[in-house]
Amino acid sequence: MRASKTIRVGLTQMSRADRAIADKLISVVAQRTGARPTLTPVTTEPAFAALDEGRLDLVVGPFSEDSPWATDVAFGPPLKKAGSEDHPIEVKAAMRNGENRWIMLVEAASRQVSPAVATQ
Amino acid sequence: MSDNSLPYELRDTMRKAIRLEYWNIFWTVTVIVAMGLVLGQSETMKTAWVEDTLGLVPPIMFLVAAHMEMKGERSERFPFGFERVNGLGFFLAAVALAAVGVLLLYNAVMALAAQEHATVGSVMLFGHAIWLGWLMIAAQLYSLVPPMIIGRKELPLAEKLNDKLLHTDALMNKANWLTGAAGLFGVIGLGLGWWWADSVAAALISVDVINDGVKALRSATAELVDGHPRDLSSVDLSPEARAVAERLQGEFPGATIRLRETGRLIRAEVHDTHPPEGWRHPRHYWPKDEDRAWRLAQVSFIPPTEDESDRG
Repeated sequence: MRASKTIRVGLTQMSRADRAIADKLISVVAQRTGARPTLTPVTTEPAFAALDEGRLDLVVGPFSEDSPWATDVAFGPPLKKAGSEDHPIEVKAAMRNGENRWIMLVEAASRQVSPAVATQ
Repeated sequence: MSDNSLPYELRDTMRKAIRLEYWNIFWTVTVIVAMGLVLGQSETMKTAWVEDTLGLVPPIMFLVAAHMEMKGERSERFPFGFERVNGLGFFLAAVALAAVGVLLLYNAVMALAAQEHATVGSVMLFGHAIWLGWLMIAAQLYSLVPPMIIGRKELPLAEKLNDKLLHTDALMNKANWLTGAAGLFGVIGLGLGWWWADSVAAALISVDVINDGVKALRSATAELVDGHPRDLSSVDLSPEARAVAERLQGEFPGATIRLRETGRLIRAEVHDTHPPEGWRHPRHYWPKDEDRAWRLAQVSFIPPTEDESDRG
């Protein structure tokens, strides 16, 4: 990412309102890294496989709060919460496990975008 | 002679050890909570946390055994009292240690083979985003302090009581700084971007757990199958028991001396000889320090059979 100066972002299908907050996160991340985002529409499973293989740097979309993918990817703090009490849905970023500096940066950006939701 | 299995002169020391073990459990629980709060996805932290949790087994076993030794009276069903409960507890603790050590090593090796990258992100604390690794390091450092102090206090009590369970616990506690150092290396390594440091540190800790477990298992098994008494701190034969055997051999030349251990006590059988004239307490045969004579609880004489006497 540092070499290419681009952030490869996968966006899952989401509502217009969710997309607006996702765009805000992407622009904050772009600002903090000085890299240009390239956006690709994705579906969840192939997107997480692409994260793991290093073909994507970031995936943003609505995921359930207790997502079964939580051990395979690193989720950032939520940007927005919706859904029922039993099945809460969070719009959040997913990153490749172990990329700790990158994860910290996206976490900080998420908290900047939605401070009230992210620190709940 | 008391109605329970604990020699009278050990009562005060045993009470001190019981008090210390209650403190040990309290401090260990604080460490388990502190480590549990900051586990994250780190293999090192998980392994160290499991090791800390396992650290509760020896003190709990010790307390159960001590309670039964001190309060459990001899009865028709248990004519020898409960002096071997300590040995049973020691065996169970050893099995638990060795088995969990193997499981932890397997997990660490698999994580290494699969090149799993542990995520250590940030958490919000008092309005500030803090790298979870700093909290892990703080928890690891805290986890070093109680065991170091308690381990040092346990050692002399374990020696006085000749208590293998307490001694194993003391050694595990004293050696915990190794685990802590490996754990710190793992977390700091993650911070430096060395993904493998986490699993390597976890593997090192689990090897230490297996080592503790196997040593304890060898010693505990020796006692359960009536082996010669073993040294408190190793699987070597006990120098005290050797001295008893030499003392008996000197007094009864030509006899076969067999010693075994029941908990903290030594029992001797002198084969192929007649008992001496006059009554002698087993402690009479203790060769060295009088303060430790309580260890020799029984000396039995097994005369030769008539055939053997005729031949002789």
